[in-house]
Amino acid sequence: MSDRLQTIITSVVTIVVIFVLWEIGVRLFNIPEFLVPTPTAVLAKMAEKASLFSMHFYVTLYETLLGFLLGVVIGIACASVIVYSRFLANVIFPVIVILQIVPKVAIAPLFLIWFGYGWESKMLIAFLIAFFPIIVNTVSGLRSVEPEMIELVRSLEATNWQIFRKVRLPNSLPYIFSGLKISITLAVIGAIIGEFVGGNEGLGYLIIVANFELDTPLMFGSLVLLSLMGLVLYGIIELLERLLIPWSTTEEEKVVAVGM
Amino acid sequence: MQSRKKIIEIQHLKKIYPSKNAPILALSDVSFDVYEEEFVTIVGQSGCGKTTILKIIAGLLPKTEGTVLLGGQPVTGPRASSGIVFQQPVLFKWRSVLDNVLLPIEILRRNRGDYLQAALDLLELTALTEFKDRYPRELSGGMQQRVSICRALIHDPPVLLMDEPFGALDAMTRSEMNVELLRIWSERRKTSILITHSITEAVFLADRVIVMTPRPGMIADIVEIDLPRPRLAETRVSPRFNELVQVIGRKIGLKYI
Repeated sequence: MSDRLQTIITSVVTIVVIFVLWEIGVRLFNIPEFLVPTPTAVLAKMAEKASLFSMHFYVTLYETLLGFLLGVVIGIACASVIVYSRFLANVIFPVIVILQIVPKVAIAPLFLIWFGYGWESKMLIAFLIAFFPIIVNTVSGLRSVEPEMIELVRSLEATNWQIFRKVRLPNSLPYIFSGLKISITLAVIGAIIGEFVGGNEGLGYLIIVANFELDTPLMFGSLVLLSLMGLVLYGIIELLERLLIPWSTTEEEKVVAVGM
Repeated sequence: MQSRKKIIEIQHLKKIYPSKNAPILALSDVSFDVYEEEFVTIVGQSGCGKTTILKIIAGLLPKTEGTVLLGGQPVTGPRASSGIVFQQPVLFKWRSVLDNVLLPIEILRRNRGDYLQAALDLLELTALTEFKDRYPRELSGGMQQRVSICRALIHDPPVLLMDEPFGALDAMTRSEMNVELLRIWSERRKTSILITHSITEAVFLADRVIVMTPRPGMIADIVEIDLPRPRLAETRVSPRFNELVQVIGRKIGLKYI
Protein backbone atom coordinates (compact mmCIF):
# COMPACT_ATOMS: atom_id res chain seq x y z
CA MET A 1 0.00 0.00 0.00
CA SER A 2 2.85 2.38 0.84
CA ASP A 3 4.39 1.46 -2.53
CA ARG A 4 1.13 2.42 -4.15
CA LEU A 5 1.07 5.71 -2.29
CA GLN A 6 4.61 6.35 -3.44
CA THR A 7 3.57 5.67 -7.06
CA ILE A 8 0.73 8.17 -6.76
CA ILE A 9 2.95 10.82 -5.16
CA THR A 10 5.60 10.36 -7.87
CA SER A 11 3.00 10.77 -10.65
CA VAL A 12 1.44 13.85 -9.07
CA VAL A 13 4.80 15.48 -8.45
CA THR A 14 5.87 14.80 -12.04
CA ILE A 15 2.71 16.40 -13.42
CA VAL A 16 3.05 19.42 -11.15
CA VAL A 17 6.70 19.88 -12.14
CA ILE A 18 5.78 19.75 -15.84
CA PHE A 19 3.12 22.44 -15.35
CA VAL A 20 5.46 24.66 -13.33
CA LEU A 21 8.20 24.37 -15.99
CA TRP A 22 5.59 25.11 -18.65
CA GLU A 23 4.41 28.22 -16.78
CA ILE A 24 7.97 29.45 -16.24
CA GLY A 25 9.00 28.67 -19.83
CA VAL A 26 6.10 30.55 -21.39
CA ARG A 27 6.67 33.59 -19.17
CA LEU A 28 10.46 33.53 -19.54
CA PHE A 29 10.46 33.39 -23.35
CA ASN A 30 7.43 35.66 -23.73
CA ILE A 31 5.55 33.18 -25.86
CA PRO A 32 2.32 34.77 -27.12
CA GLU A 33 -0.87 33.34 -25.62
CA PHE A 34 -2.39 32.30 -28.98
CA LEU A 35 0.58 29.94 -29.45
CA VAL A 36 0.92 28.45 -25.98
CA PRO A 37 -1.09 29.78 -23.05
CA THR A 38 0.20 29.33 -19.51
CA PRO A 39 -1.51 26.68 -17.33
CA THR A 40 -2.81 29.50 -15.12
CA ALA A 41 -4.33 31.24 -18.14
CA VAL A 42 -6.04 27.98 -19.13
CA LEU A 43 -7.39 27.54 -15.60
CA ALA A 44 -8.58 31.16 -15.58
CA LYS A 45 -10.37 30.59 -18.88
CA MET A 46 -11.99 27.42 -17.53
CA ALA A 47 -13.22 29.26 -14.44
CA GLU A 48 -14.46 32.20 -16.49
CA LYS A 49 -16.35 30.07 -19.04
CA ALA A 50 -17.37 27.31 -16.60
CA SER A 51 -20.99 27.11 -17.75
CA LEU A 52 -20.01 27.07 -21.44
CA PHE A 53 -17.49 24.29 -20.80
CA SER A 54 -19.87 22.21 -18.71
CA MET A 55 -22.66 22.44 -21.29
CA HIS A 56 -20.39 21.18 -24.10
CA PHE A 57 -18.77 18.65 -21.78
CA TYR A 58 -22.11 17.01 -21.02
CA VAL A 59 -23.02 16.85 -24.71
CA THR A 60 -19.81 14.99 -25.54
CA LEU A 61 -20.15 12.78 -22.48
CA TYR A 62 -23.71 11.90 -23.48
CA GLU A 63 -22.73 11.01 -27.07
CA THR A 64 -19.75 9.01 -25.84
CA LEU A 65 -21.69 7.00 -23.28
CA LEU A 66 -24.58 6.26 -25.63
CA GLY A 67 -22.21 5.16 -28.39
CA PHE A 68 -20.23 3.06 -25.94
CA LEU A 69 -23.30 1.38 -24.43
CA LEU A 70 -24.63 0.63 -27.90
CA GLY A 71 -21.23 -0.88 -28.70
CA VAL A 72 -21.34 -3.03 -25.57
CA VAL A 73 -24.83 -4.38 -26.23
CA ILE A 74 -24.41 -4.99 -29.95
CA GLY A 75 -20.79 -6.13 -29.60
CA ILE A 76 -21.55 -8.78 -27.00
CA ALA A 77 -24.70 -9.90 -28.82
CA CYS A 78 -22.86 -10.23 -32.15
CA ALA A 79 -20.00 -12.08 -30.47
CA SER A 80 -22.41 -14.58 -28.90
CA VAL A 81 -24.08 -15.20 -32.25
CA ILE A 82 -20.71 -15.64 -33.97
CA VAL A 83 -19.58 -18.19 -31.39
CA TYR A 84 -22.77 -20.24 -31.69
CA SER A 85 -23.47 -20.16 -35.40
CA ARG A 86 -20.90 -20.84 -38.07
CA PHE A 87 -23.31 -19.60 -40.73
CA LEU A 88 -24.01 -16.28 -39.01
CA ALA A 89 -20.31 -15.92 -38.25
CA ASN A 90 -19.69 -16.13 -42.00
CA VAL A 91 -22.37 -13.49 -42.57
CA ILE A 92 -21.30 -11.09 -39.82
CA PHE A 93 -17.51 -11.30 -40.04
CA PRO A 94 -17.04 -9.79 -43.53
CA VAL A 95 -19.32 -6.89 -42.59
CA ILE A 96 -17.35 -6.24 -39.41
CA VAL A 97 -14.03 -6.46 -41.22
CA ILE A 98 -15.21 -3.97 -43.88
CA LEU A 99 -16.48 -1.62 -41.17
CA GLN A 100 -13.16 -1.91 -39.40
CA ILE A 101 -11.08 -1.30 -42.53
CA VAL A 102 -12.92 1.87 -43.58
CA PRO A 103 -11.38 4.79 -41.66
CA LYS A 104 -14.04 6.08 -39.30
CA VAL A 105 -12.93 9.67 -39.84
CA ALA A 106 -13.64 9.24 -43.55
CA ILE A 107 -17.20 7.99 -43.12
CA ALA A 108 -18.10 10.56 -40.47
CA PRO A 109 -19.38 13.10 -43.08
CA LEU A 110 -21.61 10.38 -44.55
CA PHE A 111 -23.07 9.70 -41.11
CA LEU A 112 -23.87 13.38 -40.75
CA ILE A 113 -25.78 13.32 -44.03
CA TRP A 114 -27.64 10.18 -42.99
CA PHE A 115 -28.35 10.87 -39.35
CA GLY A 116 -28.29 14.65 -39.12
CA TYR A 117 -26.11 17.14 -37.29
CA GLY A 118 -27.45 16.30 -33.84
CA TRP A 119 -26.17 13.85 -31.23
CA GLU A 120 -27.40 10.78 -33.15
CA SER A 121 -24.66 10.86 -35.79
CA LYS A 122 -21.96 11.41 -33.11
CA MET A 123 -23.30 8.55 -31.03
CA LEU A 124 -23.21 6.27 -34.06
CA ILE A 125 -19.62 7.20 -34.91
CA ALA A 126 -18.65 6.59 -31.28
CA PHE A 127 -20.47 3.26 -31.45
CA LEU A 128 -18.78 2.23 -34.68
CA ILE A 129 -15.30 2.91 -33.34
CA ALA A 130 -15.99 1.37 -29.89
CA PHE A 131 -17.69 -1.74 -31.21
CA PHE A 132 -14.73 -3.56 -32.71
CA PRO A 133 -12.54 -4.16 -29.62
CA ILE A 134 -15.60 -5.37 -27.72
CA ILE A 135 -16.66 -7.91 -30.32
CA VAL A 136 -13.13 -9.20 -30.89
CA ASN A 137 -12.42 -9.61 -27.18
CA THR A 138 -15.79 -11.16 -26.43
CA VAL A 139 -15.43 -13.70 -29.23
CA SER A 140 -12.03 -14.79 -27.97
CA GLY A 141 -13.32 -14.87 -24.39
CA LEU A 142 -16.30 -17.03 -25.29
CA ARG A 143 -14.09 -19.35 -27.30
CA SER A 144 -11.26 -19.73 -24.83
CA VAL A 145 -13.10 -22.15 -22.57
CA GLU A 146 -11.30 -25.30 -21.44
CA PRO A 147 -12.97 -28.18 -23.33
CA GLU A 148 -13.21 -30.15 -20.08
CA MET A 149 -15.42 -27.42 -18.58
CA ILE A 150 -17.91 -27.97 -21.38
CA GLU A 151 -17.61 -31.76 -21.05
CA LEU A 152 -18.22 -31.52 -17.33
CA VAL A 153 -21.48 -29.62 -17.64
CA ARG A 154 -22.49 -31.66 -20.68
CA SER A 155 -22.11 -34.81 -18.60
CA LEU A 156 -24.72 -33.26 -16.33
CA GLU A 157 -27.07 -32.84 -19.29
CA ALA A 158 -26.61 -29.07 -19.46
CA THR A 159 -28.61 -27.17 -22.07
CA ASN A 160 -26.87 -24.86 -24.55
CA TRP A 161 -28.21 -21.89 -22.63
CA GLN A 162 -26.71 -23.24 -19.39
CA ILE A 163 -23.37 -23.77 -21.11
CA PHE A 164 -23.48 -20.15 -22.25
CA ARG A 165 -24.75 -18.68 -19.00
CA LYS A 166 -22.70 -20.77 -16.54
CA VAL A 167 -19.50 -21.41 -18.49
CA ARG A 168 -18.83 -19.31 -21.57
CA LEU A 169 -20.11 -15.95 -20.38
CA PRO A 170 -18.38 -15.82 -16.97
CA ASN A 171 -15.22 -17.19 -18.58
CA SER A 172 -15.26 -14.34 -21.10
CA LEU A 173 -15.71 -11.52 -18.58
CA PRO A 174 -12.01 -10.68 -18.15
CA TYR A 175 -11.68 -10.53 -21.95
CA ILE A 176 -14.81 -8.39 -22.25
CA PHE A 177 -13.44 -5.97 -19.68
CA SER A 178 -10.14 -5.53 -21.50
CA GLY A 179 -12.22 -4.79 -24.61
CA LEU A 180 -14.33 -2.27 -22.68
CA LYS A 181 -11.25 -0.44 -21.46
CA ILE A 182 -10.00 0.05 -25.01
CA SER A 183 -13.47 0.93 -26.28
CA ILE A 184 -14.35 3.59 -23.75
CA THR A 185 -11.41 5.76 -24.75
CA LEU A 186 -12.11 5.10 -28.44
CA ALA A 187 -15.75 6.15 -27.93
CA VAL A 188 -14.58 9.59 -26.76
CA ILE A 189 -12.51 9.87 -29.94
CA GLY A 190 -15.52 8.84 -32.04
CA ALA A 191 -17.74 11.52 -30.51
CA ILE A 192 -15.08 14.18 -31.09
CA ILE A 193 -14.62 13.14 -34.72
CA GLY A 194 -18.35 13.57 -35.23
CA GLU A 195 -18.30 17.00 -33.61
CA PHE A 196 -15.34 18.09 -35.73
CA VAL A 197 -17.16 17.21 -38.92
CA GLY A 198 -20.33 19.08 -38.15
CA GLY A 199 -22.74 20.30 -35.51
CA ASN A 200 -22.96 23.05 -32.95
CA GLU A 201 -22.40 21.31 -29.64
CA GLY A 202 -19.77 19.37 -27.74
CA LEU A 203 -16.12 19.82 -26.82
CA GLY A 204 -15.06 18.89 -30.36
CA TYR A 205 -17.19 21.74 -31.68
CA LEU A 206 -15.73 24.05 -29.03
CA ILE A 207 -12.21 23.19 -30.21
CA ILE A 208 -13.17 24.06 -33.80
CA VAL A 209 -14.65 27.39 -32.63
CA ALA A 210 -11.55 28.16 -30.55
CA ASN A 211 -9.46 27.36 -33.60
CA PHE A 212 -11.31 29.90 -35.77
CA GLU A 213 -11.05 32.56 -33.09
CA LEU A 214 -7.43 31.72 -32.24
CA ASP A 215 -8.63 31.38 -28.64
CA THR A 216 -5.91 28.93 -27.60
CA PRO A 217 -6.77 28.94 -23.85
CA LEU A 218 -10.29 27.86 -24.81
CA MET A 219 -8.80 25.06 -26.90
CA PHE A 220 -6.53 23.92 -24.08
CA GLY A 221 -9.45 24.04 -21.64
CA SER A 222 -11.41 21.72 -23.93
CA LEU A 223 -8.43 19.38 -24.18
CA VAL A 224 -8.11 19.24 -20.41
CA LEU A 225 -11.77 18.33 -20.03
CA LEU A 226 -11.57 15.71 -22.77
CA SER A 227 -8.57 14.08 -21.12
CA LEU A 228 -10.34 14.13 -17.77
CA MET A 229 -13.40 12.55 -19.35
CA GLY A 230 -11.36 9.72 -20.87
CA LEU A 231 -9.46 9.20 -17.63
CA VAL A 232 -12.53 9.09 -15.40
CA LEU A 233 -14.49 6.81 -17.75
CA TYR A 234 -11.53 4.43 -17.93
CA GLY A 235 -11.27 4.52 -14.13
CA ILE A 236 -14.95 3.66 -13.78
CA ILE A 237 -14.57 0.61 -16.05
CA GLU A 238 -11.55 -0.52 -14.07
CA LEU A 239 -13.44 -0.08 -10.82
CA LEU A 240 -16.37 -2.09 -12.18
CA GLU A 241 -13.92 -4.80 -13.24
CA ARG A 242 -12.49 -4.97 -9.76
CA LEU A 243 -15.95 -5.14 -8.19
CA LEU A 244 -17.57 -7.54 -10.64
CA ILE A 245 -14.78 -10.01 -11.32
CA PRO A 246 -12.55 -10.03 -8.25
CA TRP A 247 -11.47 -13.56 -9.21
CA SER A 248 -9.85 -12.44 -12.45
CA THR A 249 -6.19 -13.38 -12.71
CA THR A 250 -5.36 -10.29 -14.76
CA GLU A 251 -6.43 -8.35 -11.69
CA GLU A 252 -4.11 -10.52 -9.62
CA GLU A 253 -1.19 -9.76 -11.94
CA LYS A 254 -1.98 -6.07 -11.74
CA VAL A 255 -1.92 -6.13 -7.94
CA VAL A 256 1.36 -7.99 -8.03
CA ALA A 257 2.83 -5.45 -10.45
CA VAL A 258 1.73 -2.55 -8.25
CA GLY A 259 3.06 -4.42 -5.22
CA MET A 260 6.50 -4.63 -6.77
CA MET B 1 -18.55 -60.77 -6.06
CA GLN B 2 -20.50 -62.37 -8.91
CA SER B 3 -23.74 -62.32 -6.93
CA ARG B 4 -23.63 -58.53 -6.76
CA LYS B 5 -25.53 -56.27 -9.09
CA LYS B 6 -23.86 -55.23 -12.31
CA ILE B 7 -23.84 -51.44 -12.64
CA ILE B 8 -21.79 -51.11 -15.80
CA GLU B 9 -21.86 -53.74 -18.54
CA ILE B 10 -19.63 -53.39 -21.57
CA GLN B 11 -19.67 -55.94 -24.36
CA HIS B 12 -17.58 -56.02 -27.53
CA LEU B 13 -17.02 -52.28 -27.41
CA LYS B 14 -15.28 -50.91 -30.47
CA LYS B 15 -14.31 -47.32 -31.20
CA ILE B 16 -12.97 -45.98 -34.46
CA TYR B 17 -12.01 -42.32 -34.69
CA PRO B 18 -12.88 -41.24 -38.21
CA SER B 19 -10.07 -39.54 -40.08
CA LYS B 20 -9.71 -38.54 -43.72
CA ASN B 21 -6.59 -40.55 -44.41
CA ALA B 22 -6.70 -43.52 -42.08
CA PRO B 23 -9.41 -44.09 -39.48
CA ILE B 24 -7.90 -44.85 -36.08
CA LEU B 25 -9.00 -47.99 -34.30
CA ALA B 26 -8.88 -46.83 -30.68
CA LEU B 27 -10.67 -49.72 -29.00
CA SER B 28 -11.12 -53.23 -30.28
CA ASP B 29 -13.52 -55.69 -28.66
CA VAL B 30 -13.46 -54.47 -25.07
CA SER B 31 -15.73 -56.33 -22.65
CA PHE B 32 -15.98 -56.01 -18.89
CA ASP B 33 -18.51 -55.51 -16.11
CA VAL B 34 -18.34 -53.38 -13.01
CA TYR B 35 -20.33 -54.40 -9.96
CA GLU B 36 -22.13 -52.22 -7.47
CA GLU B 37 -19.76 -50.45 -5.07
CA GLU B 38 -16.78 -51.95 -6.80
CA PHE B 39 -13.59 -49.97 -7.40
CA VAL B 40 -12.10 -50.79 -10.77
CA THR B 41 -8.96 -49.23 -12.16
CA ILE B 42 -7.93 -49.29 -15.80
CA VAL B 43 -4.20 -49.20 -16.35
CA GLY B 44 -2.21 -48.98 -19.54
CA GLN B 45 0.30 -46.96 -21.48
CA SER B 46 -0.59 -43.73 -23.25
CA GLY B 47 -2.74 -44.24 -26.31
CA CYS B 48 -4.38 -47.47 -25.21
CA GLY B 49 -7.85 -45.93 -25.27
CA LYS B 50 -8.37 -45.68 -21.50
CA THR B 51 -9.87 -42.22 -21.67
CA THR B 52 -12.00 -43.22 -24.65
CA ILE B 53 -13.65 -45.97 -22.58
CA LEU B 54 -14.42 -43.51 -19.79
CA LYS B 55 -15.88 -40.90 -22.13
CA ILE B 56 -18.08 -43.51 -23.81
CA ILE B 57 -19.40 -44.63 -20.40
CA ALA B 58 -20.06 -40.98 -19.51
CA GLY B 59 -21.97 -40.59 -22.78
CA LEU B 60 -19.63 -37.83 -23.95
CA LEU B 61 -18.37 -39.83 -26.92
CA PRO B 62 -20.37 -42.09 -29.25
CA LYS B 63 -19.27 -45.70 -29.57
CA THR B 64 -18.74 -47.36 -32.94
CA GLU B 65 -19.93 -50.87 -32.07
CA GLY B 66 -20.87 -52.91 -29.04
CA THR B 67 -23.07 -52.57 -25.99
CA VAL B 68 -22.62 -50.18 -23.08
CA LEU B 69 -25.15 -50.42 -20.26
CA LEU B 70 -25.22 -48.16 -17.24
CA GLY B 71 -27.62 -49.34 -14.56
CA GLY B 72 -29.18 -51.68 -17.14
CA GLN B 73 -29.90 -48.82 -19.58
CA PRO B 74 -28.02 -48.35 -22.86
CA VAL B 75 -25.84 -45.24 -22.85
CA THR B 76 -26.90 -42.98 -25.70
CA GLY B 77 -25.75 -39.58 -24.44
CA PRO B 78 -24.71 -37.78 -21.28
CA ARG B 79 -26.69 -38.71 -18.21
CA ALA B 80 -26.29 -37.21 -14.78
CA SER B 81 -25.88 -40.67 -13.24
CA SER B 82 -22.11 -40.35 -13.22
CA GLY B 83 -19.77 -37.96 -11.50
CA ILE B 84 -16.63 -37.12 -13.45
CA VAL B 85 -13.16 -36.12 -12.27
CA PHE B 86 -10.62 -35.07 -14.88
CA GLN B 87 -6.83 -34.99 -14.81
CA GLN B 88 -7.00 -31.23 -14.29
CA PRO B 89 -9.32 -30.04 -11.52
CA VAL B 90 -11.34 -27.99 -14.09
CA LEU B 91 -12.65 -25.70 -11.37
CA PHE B 92 -14.56 -22.59 -12.39
CA LYS B 93 -12.26 -19.78 -11.37
CA TRP B 94 -15.10 -17.31 -10.90
CA ARG B 95 -16.80 -19.49 -8.31
CA SER B 96 -15.84 -20.02 -4.69
CA VAL B 97 -14.96 -23.53 -3.55
CA LEU B 98 -18.48 -24.04 -2.20
CA ASP B 99 -20.09 -22.74 -5.40
CA ASN B 100 -17.88 -25.01 -7.45
CA VAL B 101 -19.04 -28.00 -5.44
CA LEU B 102 -22.67 -26.96 -5.93
CA LEU B 103 -22.34 -26.41 -9.70
CA PRO B 104 -23.91 -29.77 -10.67
CA ILE B 105 -26.95 -28.92 -8.54
CA GLU B 106 -27.47 -25.72 -10.53
CA ILE B 107 -26.99 -27.46 -13.86
CA LEU B 108 -29.48 -30.15 -12.83
CA ARG B 109 -31.91 -27.38 -11.80
CA ARG B 110 -32.30 -28.78 -8.32
CA ASN B 111 -32.79 -26.69 -5.21
CA ARG B 112 -29.43 -25.43 -4.00
CA GLY B 113 -30.63 -25.17 -0.41
CA ASP B 114 -31.38 -28.89 -0.29
CA TYR B 115 -27.76 -29.68 -1.09
CA LEU B 116 -25.96 -27.05 0.95
CA GLN B 117 -25.50 -29.35 3.93
CA ALA B 118 -24.35 -32.18 1.65
CA ALA B 119 -21.75 -29.83 0.14
CA LEU B 120 -20.52 -28.76 3.55
CA ASP B 121 -20.32 -32.42 4.62
CA LEU B 122 -18.22 -33.25 1.57
CA LEU B 123 -15.90 -30.32 2.25
CA GLU B 124 -15.62 -31.50 5.84
CA LEU B 125 -14.81 -35.02 4.61
CA THR B 126 -12.02 -33.65 2.40
CA ALA B 127 -10.74 -31.22 5.07
CA LEU B 128 -11.65 -28.15 3.01
CA THR B 129 -14.19 -26.55 5.33
CA GLU B 130 -12.09 -23.50 6.07
CA PHE B 131 -11.53 -22.89 2.34
CA LYS B 132 -15.17 -22.96 1.28
CA ASP B 133 -15.30 -19.24 0.46
CA ARG B 134 -11.93 -19.08 -1.30
CA TYR B 135 -11.40 -18.92 -5.04
CA PRO B 136 -9.76 -21.96 -6.67
CA ARG B 137 -6.55 -20.05 -7.50
CA GLU B 138 -5.92 -19.66 -3.78
CA LEU B 139 -5.73 -23.46 -3.35
CA SER B 140 -2.90 -25.94 -3.95
CA GLY B 141 -3.16 -28.54 -6.73
CA GLY B 142 -4.08 -31.33 -4.33
CA MET B 143 -6.75 -29.22 -2.65
CA GLN B 144 -8.21 -28.24 -6.03
CA GLN B 145 -8.48 -31.88 -7.03
CA ARG B 146 -10.24 -32.64 -3.73
CA VAL B 147 -12.75 -29.91 -4.57
CA SER B 148 -13.37 -31.50 -7.95
CA ILE B 149 -13.99 -34.87 -6.25
CA CYS B 150 -16.54 -33.18 -3.97
CA ARG B 151 -18.16 -31.68 -7.05
CA ALA B 152 -18.37 -35.10 -8.70
CA LEU B 153 -20.10 -36.53 -5.61
CA ILE B 154 -22.52 -33.71 -4.73
CA HIS B 155 -25.51 -34.96 -6.72
CA ASP B 156 -24.96 -38.44 -5.29
CA PRO B 157 -24.45 -40.20 -8.64
CA PRO B 158 -24.30 -43.99 -8.52
CA VAL B 159 -21.08 -44.02 -10.56
CA LEU B 160 -17.82 -42.11 -10.15
CA LEU B 161 -15.59 -41.83 -13.23
CA MET B 162 -12.04 -40.56 -12.77
CA ASP B 163 -9.61 -39.92 -15.62
CA GLU B 164 -6.08 -39.86 -14.20
CA PRO B 165 -7.24 -37.57 -11.41
CA PHE B 166 -3.84 -37.39 -9.75
CA GLY B 167 -1.69 -37.36 -12.89
CA ALA B 168 -0.89 -33.69 -12.58
CA LEU B 169 0.17 -33.87 -8.94
CA ASP B 170 3.64 -34.43 -7.54
CA ALA B 171 4.50 -37.93 -6.30
CA MET B 172 4.10 -37.20 -2.60
CA THR B 173 0.76 -35.42 -2.94
CA ARG B 174 -0.32 -38.20 -5.25
CA SER B 175 0.19 -41.02 -2.71
CA GLU B 176 -1.52 -38.93 -0.05
CA MET B 177 -4.44 -38.37 -2.40
CA ASN B 178 -4.68 -42.14 -3.01
CA VAL B 179 -5.16 -42.78 0.69
CA GLU B 180 -7.55 -39.84 0.85
CA LEU B 181 -9.62 -41.13 -2.08
CA LEU B 182 -9.98 -44.55 -0.47
CA ARG B 183 -11.12 -42.86 2.73
CA ILE B 184 -13.77 -40.88 0.81
CA TRP B 185 -14.74 -43.99 -1.11
CA SER B 186 -15.16 -46.03 2.09
CA GLU B 187 -17.52 -43.32 3.40
CA ARG B 188 -19.46 -42.89 0.17
CA ARG B 189 -19.47 -46.27 -1.48
CA LYS B 190 -19.67 -45.47 -5.16
CA THR B 191 -19.15 -47.74 -8.09
CA SER B 192 -15.87 -46.27 -9.28
CA ILE B 193 -13.72 -46.45 -12.37
CA LEU B 194 -10.35 -44.77 -12.21
CA ILE B 195 -7.95 -44.51 -15.10
CA THR B 196 -4.25 -44.29 -14.48
CA HIS B 197 -0.90 -45.10 -16.03
CA SER B 198 0.60 -45.74 -12.61
CA ILE B 199 0.55 -49.46 -11.84
CA THR B 200 1.10 -48.90 -8.11
CA GLU B 201 -1.82 -46.50 -8.00
CA ALA B 202 -3.99 -48.97 -9.90
CA VAL B 203 -3.16 -51.81 -7.51
CA PHE B 204 -3.43 -49.70 -4.38
CA LEU B 205 -6.95 -48.45 -5.13
CA ALA B 206 -8.68 -51.29 -6.92
CA ASP B 207 -10.78 -54.34 -6.27
CA ARG B 208 -9.94 -55.30 -9.83
CA VAL B 209 -7.40 -53.90 -12.27
CA ILE B 210 -8.19 -53.92 -15.98
CA VAL B 211 -4.91 -54.13 -17.85
CA MET B 212 -4.92 -52.66 -21.35
CA THR B 213 -2.54 -52.97 -24.26
CA PRO B 214 -2.17 -50.14 -26.77
CA ARG B 215 -2.99 -49.71 -30.46
CA PRO B 216 -5.62 -50.86 -30.76
CA GLY B 217 -6.78 -50.71 -27.15
CA MET B 218 -7.57 -54.20 -25.91
CA ILE B 219 -7.93 -55.80 -22.52
CA ALA B 220 -4.85 -57.91 -21.78
CA ASP B 221 -6.22 -59.24 -18.52
CA ILE B 222 -8.34 -58.40 -15.51
CA VAL B 223 -6.54 -58.93 -12.20
CA GLU B 224 -8.32 -59.38 -8.87
CA ILE B 225 -6.60 -57.43 -6.11
CA ASP B 226 -6.90 -59.46 -2.93
CA LEU B 227 -5.18 -56.95 -0.65
CA PRO B 228 -7.17 -56.41 2.54
CA ARG B 229 -9.03 -53.14 3.15
CA PRO B 230 -8.71 -50.59 4.59
CA ARG B 231 -5.52 -49.99 2.69
CA LEU B 232 -3.04 -47.64 4.21
CA ALA B 233 0.38 -46.30 3.30
CA GLU B 234 1.91 -49.51 4.70
CA THR B 235 0.03 -51.56 2.11
CA ARG B 236 2.44 -50.28 -0.52
CA VAL B 237 5.40 -52.08 1.07
CA SER B 238 3.70 -55.44 1.57
CA PRO B 239 5.11 -58.37 -0.49
CA ARG B 240 1.71 -59.17 -2.00
CA PHE B 241 1.41 -55.58 -3.25
CA ASN B 242 4.74 -55.77 -5.03
CA GLU B 243 3.89 -59.15 -6.45
CA LEU B 244 0.67 -57.78 -7.97
CA VAL B 245 2.51 -54.75 -9.36
CA GLN B 246 4.99 -57.05 -11.08
CA VAL B 247 2.28 -59.32 -12.48
CA ILE B 248 0.46 -56.34 -13.99
CA GLY B 249 3.64 -54.77 -15.28
CA ARG B 250 4.45 -57.92 -17.21
CA LYS B 251 0.94 -58.07 -18.66
CA ILE B 252 1.28 -54.53 -19.94
CA GLY B 253 4.51 -55.61 -21.59
CA LEU B 254 7.06 -53.77 -19.50
CA LYS B 255 10.45 -55.46 -19.36
CA TYR B 256 11.71 -53.66 -16.27
CA ILE B 257 9.67 -52.88 -13.20
